[in-house]
Amino acid sequence: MQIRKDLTESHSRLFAQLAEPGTWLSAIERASIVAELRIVKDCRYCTERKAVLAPKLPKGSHTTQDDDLNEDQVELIHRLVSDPGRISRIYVDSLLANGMTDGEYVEISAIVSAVVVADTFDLALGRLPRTSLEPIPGEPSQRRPQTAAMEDAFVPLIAANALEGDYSDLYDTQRMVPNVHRAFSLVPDCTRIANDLMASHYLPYEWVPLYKDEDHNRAIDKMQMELIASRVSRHNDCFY
Amino acid sequence: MIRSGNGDGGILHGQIILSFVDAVMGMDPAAISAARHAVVDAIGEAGMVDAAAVMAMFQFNTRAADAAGIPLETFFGAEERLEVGRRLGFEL
Repeated sequence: MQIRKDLTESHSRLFAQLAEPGTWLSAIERASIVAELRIVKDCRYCTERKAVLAPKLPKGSHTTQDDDLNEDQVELIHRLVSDPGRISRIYVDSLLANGMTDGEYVEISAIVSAVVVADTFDLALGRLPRTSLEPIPGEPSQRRPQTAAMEDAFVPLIAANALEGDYSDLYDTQRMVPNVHRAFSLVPDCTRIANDLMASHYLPYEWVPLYKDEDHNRAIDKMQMELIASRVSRHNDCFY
Repeated sequence: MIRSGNGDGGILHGQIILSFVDAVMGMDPAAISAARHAVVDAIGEAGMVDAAAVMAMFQFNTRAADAAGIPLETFFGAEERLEVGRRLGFEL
């Protein structure tokens, strides 16, 4: 099977980056997140919770395999995989009130979301997922972008006109920057992961509104791409 | 509330592509294999790979939007999005 090189290379860069210490999480924690998200499909509690109208109602505990993650980290990983459409401001605030930092929340969310990309691609092609990470020793950088600020979202974001210093590269500010591009900007490395994946799998974020048929270089047409995107959004109950 | 539909949106091989998406999202290996072969027959191997890539990427974008709670852009409102859904054959 012929697979575009930019796709496989973006997955290799993703897993290489995730094996390193992150911004707020150690490499061991990041590897644990990857291992944990892969067992969510077998979590009976997640299946029960997904089926009910109010996700807080069923009492239970997640099927988990990792002692390096605390209860709230496990809960967030499972929610992101199995029921992301019902993440609410109250839900996020409850995690933060329990002690999870907003940076940690964003980093976990981005890791889960990115690995789901690679795993979904492999699943679709009938391939096994990439093996677990080998964590590289080191300390998280703990560098918080000074211009990240609360807007009308659950976590602080960096505005398109607030890039500076070592995160001045995140967006193409010559064009309109969509909010989804800014979603994980509180942790700039997570936005860089998103940039890499978008360019190879779909279109760079800022190119989407300016798409032109004459620039198309995929084996499916743009309407087929949008049909797929819409169907995935429906499966995930995504409002956006 | 986002609801299901069974149209192909008038898009070439739309139903075959949607069946592929549904199979992957359902995570049933046998269904995925059958759907993948149908897609390859319809649009070729490169088309199937690109379909898988788009599918995979929107697993990221939907989670990024939901996890961060980002608002909809004001320039592209709910009505425009509903119109896209209608054109793609979703029951809204």
